[in-house]
Amino acid sequence: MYAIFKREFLSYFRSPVGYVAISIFSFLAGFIFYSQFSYGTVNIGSEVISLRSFFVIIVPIITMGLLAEDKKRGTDILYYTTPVSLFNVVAGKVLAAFALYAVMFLNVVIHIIVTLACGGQFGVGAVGTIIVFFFMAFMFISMGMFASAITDNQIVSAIVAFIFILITQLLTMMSEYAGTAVTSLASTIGIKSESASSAGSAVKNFVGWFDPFAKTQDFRLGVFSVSALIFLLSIGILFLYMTYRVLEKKRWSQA
Amino acid sequence: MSKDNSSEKINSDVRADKMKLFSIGSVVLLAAIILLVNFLFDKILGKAMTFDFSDSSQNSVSKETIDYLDTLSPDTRIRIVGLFNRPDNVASTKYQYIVPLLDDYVKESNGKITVEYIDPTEHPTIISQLDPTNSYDLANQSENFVVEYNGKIKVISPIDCYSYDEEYYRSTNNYLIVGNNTEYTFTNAMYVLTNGYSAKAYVVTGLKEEGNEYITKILNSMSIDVESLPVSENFAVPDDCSLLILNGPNSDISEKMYVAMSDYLSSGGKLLVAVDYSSINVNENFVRLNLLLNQMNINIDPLLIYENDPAYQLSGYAYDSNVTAVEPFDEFSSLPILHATYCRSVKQAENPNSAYITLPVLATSDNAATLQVDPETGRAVDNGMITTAKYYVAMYSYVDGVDASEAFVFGTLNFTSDLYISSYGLNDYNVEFLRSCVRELVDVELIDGVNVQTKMIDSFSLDTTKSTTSASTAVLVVFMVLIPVVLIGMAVIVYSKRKNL
Amino acid sequence: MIEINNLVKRYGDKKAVNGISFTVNDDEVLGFLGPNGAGKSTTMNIITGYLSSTSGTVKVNGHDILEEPELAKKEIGYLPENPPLYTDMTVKEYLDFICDLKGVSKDKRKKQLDRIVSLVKISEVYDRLIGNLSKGYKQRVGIAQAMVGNPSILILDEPTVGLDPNQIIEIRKLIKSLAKSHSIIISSHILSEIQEVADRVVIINKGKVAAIDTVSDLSKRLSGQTKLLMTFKGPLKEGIGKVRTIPGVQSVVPRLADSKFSQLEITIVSDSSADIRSAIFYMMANESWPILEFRSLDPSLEEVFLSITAR
Repeated sequence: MYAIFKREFLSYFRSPVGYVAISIFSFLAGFIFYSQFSYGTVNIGSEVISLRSFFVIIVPIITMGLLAEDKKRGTDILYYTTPVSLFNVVAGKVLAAFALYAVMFLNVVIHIIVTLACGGQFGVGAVGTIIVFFFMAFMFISMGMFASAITDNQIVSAIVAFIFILITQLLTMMSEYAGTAVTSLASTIGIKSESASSAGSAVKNFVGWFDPFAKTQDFRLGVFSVSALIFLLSIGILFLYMTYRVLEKKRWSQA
Repeated sequence: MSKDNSSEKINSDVRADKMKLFSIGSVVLLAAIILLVNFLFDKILGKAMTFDFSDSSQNSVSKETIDYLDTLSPDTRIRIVGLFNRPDNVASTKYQYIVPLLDDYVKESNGKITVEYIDPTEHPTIISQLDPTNSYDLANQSENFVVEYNGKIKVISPIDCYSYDEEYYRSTNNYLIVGNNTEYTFTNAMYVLTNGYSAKAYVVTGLKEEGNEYITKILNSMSIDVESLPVSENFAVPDDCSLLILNGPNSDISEKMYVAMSDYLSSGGKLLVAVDYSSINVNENFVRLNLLLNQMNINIDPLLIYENDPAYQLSGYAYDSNVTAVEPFDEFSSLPILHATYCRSVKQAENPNSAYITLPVLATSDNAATLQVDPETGRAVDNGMITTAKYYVAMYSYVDGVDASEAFVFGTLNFTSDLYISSYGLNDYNVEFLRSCVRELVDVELIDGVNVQTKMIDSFSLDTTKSTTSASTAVLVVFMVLIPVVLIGMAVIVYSKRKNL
Repeated sequence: MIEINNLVKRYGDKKAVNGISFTVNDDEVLGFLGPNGAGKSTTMNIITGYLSSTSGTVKVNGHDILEEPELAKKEIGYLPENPPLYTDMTVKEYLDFICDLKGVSKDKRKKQLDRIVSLVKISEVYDRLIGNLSKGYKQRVGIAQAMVGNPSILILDEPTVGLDPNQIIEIRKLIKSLAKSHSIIISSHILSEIQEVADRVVIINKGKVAAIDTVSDLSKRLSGQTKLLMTFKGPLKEGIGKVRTIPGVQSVVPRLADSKFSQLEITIVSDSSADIRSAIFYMMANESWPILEFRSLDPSLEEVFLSITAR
């Protein structure tokens, strides 16, 4: 696992990809920090929670090459023919992308230092948001990794990851539409309006339940929810496992 | 693919089929387990495993509330209904501190409290369910919460849950939240619903006074019901009145009111009066009010107290100073030094009525003076009465006996006004002092309400001397230009260096 | 030592490998010969654990590739048809990564890499980017990669394909030198290349083993198949008649005839030990039919299979 981690992590810095990703992150985080700073109040928790919106841009950049490029170059054969287990390959690659995120996060650390130097607050609430931020990063990186496993084209992989994350980000909105659709559908087929709207809201609640953004929204208010962390962690693990299975498929695939 | 199917096809790759089945099966199984575990965790432990990391525990109910909830019998069912759909994102809305706190209520109450969000436009039956007589007009309370217990309800608006900086509001017309009273409001609403009121107070309105919102809140929290008693032609003090309040009148009472209130006092009434000396009422000498108070040996002077002692002055203002609680009233608050602004002097009346015993309550330093202010110029008028001495800002008077009447008279509004309490919060020493006065006045054994503290809103303000315009320009340049550009530069260097290796 | 037993690999309805069995002995170079699409790469991928077989077993030094994959893979160094090279790394970085991947400990790493680098002769490109190397160097780096971790078995899939003749010679030399301490399986679709380096040859066609033999025995089997191609200026029919008269000639088949010249394919009797080329030359000179082209024809693999399976 360490071998894969080391190679992938260093490869971010051997090519422009790592620098570009960090640069984009720095700019976006800097923008949020600046807009708070210029207003005279800096809530680091709020900044970190706002940074969630940028996974959709940054994660595809750092995950697109993870497996797709291996397949294209034929280097993936190394993972099957050397005494390293495929799961360690997957874990090493996710860790590398995750570590890159940690490096990016140094920006926020600098923001915290500036905030404290200017007499601002950095409390436990903000620590909670940082924890959930990294859990979320893990989940989205796993998604991006999966997207990278199902194709051998980096661009396709980036687009698929982008769509995955975008859908996740818009789940709450989509849950509203789904709820409204079910309500109107139910009422057109002649169900009483009361039960139609409760069916609609049941669908809305069900779809909305999957939205990690809604689940982690209140962290900025200091609400630290372990179940949200478990959700993020387990969805991440599911995607990792699926990635592992996709890699393994190559061994028995009949195609 | 079923097993039979694969054994029929002799040609098929059994090993690969097995691996495929295992692969897909294990993914499906893992997904199912993950969903199940998450649903269960969310439902069973989700609330218990939610912690409040906010800097001043905005989202947690305090020990006082928990203690109160513990006193309720286990089969108590209090229902809190928000008359709207649960907002997805409460940050920076008026529900920011309410929705998470209500979740904590549910968590701490062991099933005694349920919180629901039901939009009456989607589920109209909720209105008749909560308010069958439609006396609260719930259909038009779409932003509010209803607390229901045993068929009784109380409506709480989000605005009830915060204290605002009233001065800021007056000057800018914007609300600046300074304190969070969400827990205070909800707990006391539940308290009143579960315990009922033990007394009733009437607040006289219509004497050009400011609002009575906060004193109502405070009395409610002491299980005293509050009703307003408007000035009218046929003014009368109701029989169920346990306490009559005159909070900051700017005009004198009428003859009719004088008679009614005298009757009330002589039959053992309790009176709380608070008057200050402001630009609106400089010319008001409260002749009839003083006639009433004189019966109890108290007189409010039309004179402004001027504090000469710098140790008593607050921020160097002679009209804004500390006053000390005089024994035995120093026991009334945990700090006997209280805050008074623009005070009238309150003194013992001439020709004392020997039936009443009169005690000073709040006193200035020995080095204070009283002034009269010319309403035209706003300047002090030398009326020959300027002598430095100890003056009183509040007095207490009582008579022993069957119909024991009692009164507290304050020459300042710092104990009762919305302006003061909204700025200093419900935990202020002045408020604590007021509570003690009310307890003294109202005879009925008051079940002590739940004394929940106002929570200060987390402040993320920067030191203004450091977060200057030039500092924020520096932040802009460093974080949005310098760091990203340097990184792009590194990308270019690394790329061009390695390209030709 | 590798024991391969009744290996089958099915892709849908097609069997890419259909019951292949053979054994590779220690320190032996085994040539794995077959035309394109015969199942060479599939077999090698199964041996190295990249693919799983439909049925059959592979045992590497006693470890089953499916049951003890990690132990089995430790014994194998594999150079697939497309060398698994990270083009964005330098040779040094790449080999370092391979060491990490194969778990070569830090203290042994330097010594081992030095040995490999000097053996495959890549020290002059050690700090260069793999993407910028020539095909020959890339192939060497691929071989170096396979050698990392001191596996006792090297499996090289078409190691010379796409290389220029000089590079081919270099690589062959390298393989010969490696053979001293490794069991090697080397695949190719060119017979002569295998004959050059291998001790034994496994020939497969259409997923089945067509022959397993030592190189010398195989040559004997094929010796009857010697063919000559001759192009001359002269009449076709008479030419055929004349050549047929030469002893040792089994058959003469016309290949091409036009107004300018004729071309003949001459098959020589298998037991003929005599070199008939001079006899043909003198005959042609006698007739004043100038020989424009005269060369021996290498048997195509298809023909080899035909001749082998014909027996």
